[in-house]
Amino acid sequence: MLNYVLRRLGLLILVVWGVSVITFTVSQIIPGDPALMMAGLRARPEVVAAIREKLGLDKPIHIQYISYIRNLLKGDLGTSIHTHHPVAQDLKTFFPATFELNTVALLLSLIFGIPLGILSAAKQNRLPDHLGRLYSLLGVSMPSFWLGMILLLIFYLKLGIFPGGGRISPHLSEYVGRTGFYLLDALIAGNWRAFGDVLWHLALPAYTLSLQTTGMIMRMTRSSMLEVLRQEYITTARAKGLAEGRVLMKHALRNSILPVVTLVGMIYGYGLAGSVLVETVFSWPGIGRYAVRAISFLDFPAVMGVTIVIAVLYTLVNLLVDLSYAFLDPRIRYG
Amino acid sequence: MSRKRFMGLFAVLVGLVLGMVGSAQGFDPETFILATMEEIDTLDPAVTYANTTFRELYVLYDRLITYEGASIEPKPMVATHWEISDDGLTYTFYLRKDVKFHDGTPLTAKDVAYSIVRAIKIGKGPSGLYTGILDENSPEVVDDYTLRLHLRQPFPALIPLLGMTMGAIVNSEVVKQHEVNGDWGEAWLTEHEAGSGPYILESWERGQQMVLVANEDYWGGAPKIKRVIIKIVPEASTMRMLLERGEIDMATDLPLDIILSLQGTPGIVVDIVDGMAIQYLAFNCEKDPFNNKVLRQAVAYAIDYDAIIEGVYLGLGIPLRSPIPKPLLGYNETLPVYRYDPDEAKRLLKEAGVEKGLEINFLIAPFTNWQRVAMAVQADLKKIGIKVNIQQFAWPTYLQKIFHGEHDLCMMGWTPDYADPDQNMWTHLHSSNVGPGWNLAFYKNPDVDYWMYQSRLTADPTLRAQYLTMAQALAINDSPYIWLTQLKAIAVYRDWVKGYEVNPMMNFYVPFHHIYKEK
Repeated sequence: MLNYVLRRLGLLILVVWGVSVITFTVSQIIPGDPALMMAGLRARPEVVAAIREKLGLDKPIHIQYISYIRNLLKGDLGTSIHTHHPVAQDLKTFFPATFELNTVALLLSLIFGIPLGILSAAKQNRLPDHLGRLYSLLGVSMPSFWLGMILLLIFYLKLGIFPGGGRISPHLSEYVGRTGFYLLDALIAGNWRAFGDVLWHLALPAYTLSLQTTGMIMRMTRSSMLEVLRQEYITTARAKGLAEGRVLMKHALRNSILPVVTLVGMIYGYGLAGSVLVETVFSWPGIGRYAVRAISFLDFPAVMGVTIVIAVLYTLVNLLVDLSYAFLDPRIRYG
Repeated sequence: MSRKRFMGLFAVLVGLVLGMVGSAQGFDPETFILATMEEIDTLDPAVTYANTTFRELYVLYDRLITYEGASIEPKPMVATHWEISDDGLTYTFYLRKDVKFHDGTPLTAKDVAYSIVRAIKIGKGPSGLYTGILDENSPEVVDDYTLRLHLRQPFPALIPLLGMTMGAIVNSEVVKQHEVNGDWGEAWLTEHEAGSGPYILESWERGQQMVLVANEDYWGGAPKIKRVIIKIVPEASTMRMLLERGEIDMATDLPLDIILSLQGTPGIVVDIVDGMAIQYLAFNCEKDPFNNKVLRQAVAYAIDYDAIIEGVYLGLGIPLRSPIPKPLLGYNETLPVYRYDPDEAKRLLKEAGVEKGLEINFLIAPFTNWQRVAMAVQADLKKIGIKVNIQQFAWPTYLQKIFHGEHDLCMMGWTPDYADPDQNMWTHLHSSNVGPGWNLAFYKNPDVDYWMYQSRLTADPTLRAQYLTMAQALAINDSPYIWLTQLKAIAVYRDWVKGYEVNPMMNFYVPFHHIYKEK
């Protein structure tokens, strides 16, 4: 087991290295002058030249890459061209927002997706199944940007029962900010009002983000359950007189959950990089918006930082998914 | 989970949600919330060149000079009065004695001198405005409250220039304490302020909001608005909803169609005044085919200006004839202006000797209005037989290309940084500014240079206007640019905001200390 984990972690380094090479090369090929963007339009030419030298932009690309990696190993991700701020610090500001949003969204998708999937499978081709399939179809096909807008229109503008974006009400913001994970911050501060306020702000964006994945998880649970339900041991379980609920939850679910876990891993990794549209609609200060702004300002230290962090997380999540197989299915052993 | 426990949990959740609904804040006359789409980059006045950041710097720092209300006349601020020598090379400023920085230390002439030298030494964006005019030896501290500036050449626009955030006065002692490796405190001032303005920086959560609190000891009197929250709202439709529900007091950066649709909404004021932002196209006068003056004139006649003003800018613009917008000094309605005249365009095209099948590359950056203009221009030029290839690039790439003259035609928008025609004229037309100096037409005409230079040698407004008219007349005939329109300045806010006047040049800035809220 330990061997396996160590081998996978070694592989992780290789993957991240590959990602860094590609991103670095691509960001250097794009025409444009990062030094000029940093100095600002109308800056003195000698200042632009000095910045170019300081950033090492006048050196060949492989030398630049080596010095980037050398700094990276020291934990230095460079200074953002746009925010004039260390990239590591920027990531610490923007990343928790996205992480928290995606985690809550994923929990929502699991809470809705798995039971609905089970229900659909148990009542195959009957009304609950049809309704469930309609729900998942809507979820998967509705653009999140549009859905977020509609939810805001109804629940914020018309009804006024949810906030119009942001992470917390301004008058409560003093209670958060220590870790950047606001739910955690509010807990540490022991302020339930702030905790509730953060949840209240999370509700619409998390639901928007979760709807699509709920549909995917539900479909996967349903089809995997249906396959298992056809197995002989299920018939046996029913024949020996077990209650249907016990058959479904104890015998069928555990055996059909593996593909769902795989899917969840992928969804999570994808969500970390792909929630930018939802972040924009809900004024969510996340990593997606930071990345898009970085790209449009040719802010290559920031782009590199975001890419590397997401690559690391994505690989880690996948490792966790693989490890969880062993717990879910005792036949799987890593060695 | 038993049914009883489940019901209990459910009740708690419902209670939590309802409790939260009640926690939304009501009308607060002392807090002002302004929403902007753009993220603030850095708070260092010697580094930033972003309008969205000028807004905060304008109330965090004082300057020698300021602008008030809707006026573009420079007014005294920290300087009570000033004298200009006859040769226009020496400016003597007399400072107020009651100005204190946020840490309580008095603001003196050495702080003003330090701020100017600091900007020049850092050499980033804002220092470009001093190039050739002020250098590090220019400031002379006569005594604590008298400062003299020695100019390298006469520059009648200096007073208007010092009224903008480039003229922000930093607390020299505080900045020096935070200097690291000779960076003039740049790293520290990115996140902090060292000003004497009516507001003090309280907190800044990047990507979310910046909070400013009133400076109760401000020499100009304590502001009525005690807290200013600058909220980042990147999506226009979301911002619109926030405004409609009255959760923000002012919305900025909204697209024109949303602004127009908000007109007439109860509780919302859409204030439209004449503005000074200009929109234009630049030919590349240095290379074939637009090194041909007659061809440039032909194209200038082929564009349907009114259709673009109506169709793209929804009627919120007026015609423009040169880089000088109305009502800056030198604006002259008697000068000719190119209007849509397809017949004249065709005649000139023939005169230019252009063969059939001319193709040009029109470079733009991916802004919606630019894309619309590009398509209108493409259609207009097709009518006279010129094929336009529209090429779109991300902003940094776009700048790189147009600064190096890779365009035949490109587009740009511009707002004067201070209330004087000097900047718009020199920037766009002077031969020393081709390329990165923003003379994107790569236009060089020694006569135009000469008259612009003459206009700097005198402080007499009548004479300056005459010289600028000479330069404009020559430039209009040479047609290096297509001046599309001068846009209106617009402010959108709730009707409980009182005492706010939109400044035509600085519609990005809000003098929070001069306004108040009242229902």
